[in-house]
Amino acid sequence: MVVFLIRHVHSAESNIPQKRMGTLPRPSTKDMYRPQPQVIPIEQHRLMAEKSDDDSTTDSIPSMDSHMALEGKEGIEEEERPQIQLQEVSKKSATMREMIQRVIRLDHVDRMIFRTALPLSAVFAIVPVGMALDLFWVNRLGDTLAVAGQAAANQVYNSAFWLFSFLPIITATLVSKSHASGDLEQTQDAVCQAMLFSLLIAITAGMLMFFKTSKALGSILKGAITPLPHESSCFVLIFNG
Amino acid sequence: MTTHSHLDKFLAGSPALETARPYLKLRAFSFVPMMISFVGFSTLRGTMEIPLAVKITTGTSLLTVILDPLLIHVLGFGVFGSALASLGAEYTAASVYLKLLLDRNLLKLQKLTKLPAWGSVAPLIKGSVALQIRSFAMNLIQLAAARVIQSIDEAGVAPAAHALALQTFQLGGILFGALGMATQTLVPSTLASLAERKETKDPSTVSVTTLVSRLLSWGFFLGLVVSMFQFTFLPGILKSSPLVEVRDAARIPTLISISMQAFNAIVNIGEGTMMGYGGFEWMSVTIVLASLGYVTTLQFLPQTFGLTGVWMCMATFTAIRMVGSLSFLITKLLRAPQKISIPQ
Repeated sequence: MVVFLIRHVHSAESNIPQKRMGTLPRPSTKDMYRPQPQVIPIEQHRLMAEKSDDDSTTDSIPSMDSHMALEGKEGIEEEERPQIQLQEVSKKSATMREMIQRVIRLDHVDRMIFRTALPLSAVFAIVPVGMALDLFWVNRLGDTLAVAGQAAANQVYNSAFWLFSFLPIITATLVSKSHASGDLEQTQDAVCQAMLFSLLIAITAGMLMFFKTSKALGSILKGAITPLPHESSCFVLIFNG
Repeated sequence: MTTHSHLDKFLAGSPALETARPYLKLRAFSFVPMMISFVGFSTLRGTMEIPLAVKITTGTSLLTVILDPLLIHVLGFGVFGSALASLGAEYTAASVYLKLLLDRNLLKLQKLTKLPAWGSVAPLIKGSVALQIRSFAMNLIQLAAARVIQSIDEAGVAPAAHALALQTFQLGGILFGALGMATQTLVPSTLASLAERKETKDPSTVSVTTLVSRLLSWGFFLGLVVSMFQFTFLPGILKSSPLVEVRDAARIPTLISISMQAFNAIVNIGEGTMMGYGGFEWMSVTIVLASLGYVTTLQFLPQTFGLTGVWMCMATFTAIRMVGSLSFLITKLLRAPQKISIPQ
């Protein structure tokens, strides 16, 4: 299905009239010698997909050459077989190369995508990499219960935290609007209001998590709702469990 | 097992509680600095100072990386050293953000008592409801899954193995998260310039279909590359746990997580397109349906297959989200590609 969609939109892309592409860069000499993607009308693709449920049929449309190679297989001599097999392998690798080239074009669209995505992947990498390293060091303790306990506590913490994930969207949008119009007063209002709201949420949630730890963990761990003696008032418990 | 021992076990609770309870108590102290950092990061995003925000996040993450081995192993705090390290890093980040906001005159203490006008935030809250539904559903299913995983065994092997598989999935998914976010940015910027293009009749355009198809192609291709890469290094990944039983329990779930990468990429890009296109309702319905599928399969698959069953549920969840994303793309992009186009 995915392959079908990708091919489908690729064929749609290939069918875009040249005038719509406007100032698209002219293909370089190197590009001209690249195997060009096969242009298949959308309707034909749809019919092909409907004919068979198997994705592989849309994925590998047999060319005339491969038909001929298959037909010729029946009466071949023993010594010719390795050569034919070699030809088939090279044909397969050519198809693979063509598929890869269909994805890796490195034109202005690809550059635009990666100009946007690469810096973002650095942002996205920070937290998972940090978490992976944290897990690595905790794993080194060799105590599965420590990992299990940490995982349960982190899950509760993250779930509580992400319930307020709408906050950055609102803050960033309000700040962005007022900052773009050069209104410092309004920007201050947006930041201060977000801060006040966040602090109210954080203090409430933090206190609930500290004093009602068992109830919070009860959403994950069985038996957690049975409170330990003096749990809510005992700081010593932090290190004594 | 007798009824009596069942009751005993229930009263005794999960053995992981011994660690989880004090760990969560410590983490509770980081809620305030985390929220301050959240607002600080969002403010810098709003003022287009994203590189500075990234530097602060990187710096504090590095601090955690340094403090972790020191507190866990050298000073002997064990797993609580990890919580203390996170706490230290979060207070540092919050202090840096507070100083920055005060220095730039963006935070005024006397204004901290003023509540926002409903009129200014109402449209944004309405707009973020769909995102909130998504966030809520995702968290709900994660909690449900965590509950099932924690109850698989008493020794904590299954949760430890799950953490390993999840870490592999999340590390592999970094690039796809970024591609999804890039889609969220590129699609609306494209659509925003549609009106301008219509006015100027500028023919120098590339259709959104081209953009999204290219993103999908890259996503699927990179998904396969990441899967192959992770598959090659699977023994190394599993060795991050020194315990053989954890490695054994994590092997098949990790393999499932690795094989899901390409589909995860499609889901991220599809949902990014939905968000960029304003298809929040479609996305919410998809997520709710996927969550229902996840919770339903969670009722019987883990009972038969254990932790592997949980990852089968995860695969079901991803598959439903992918179907939702692809349906959206087919409906909005393939059926009416001529309606959406962008300037280069």
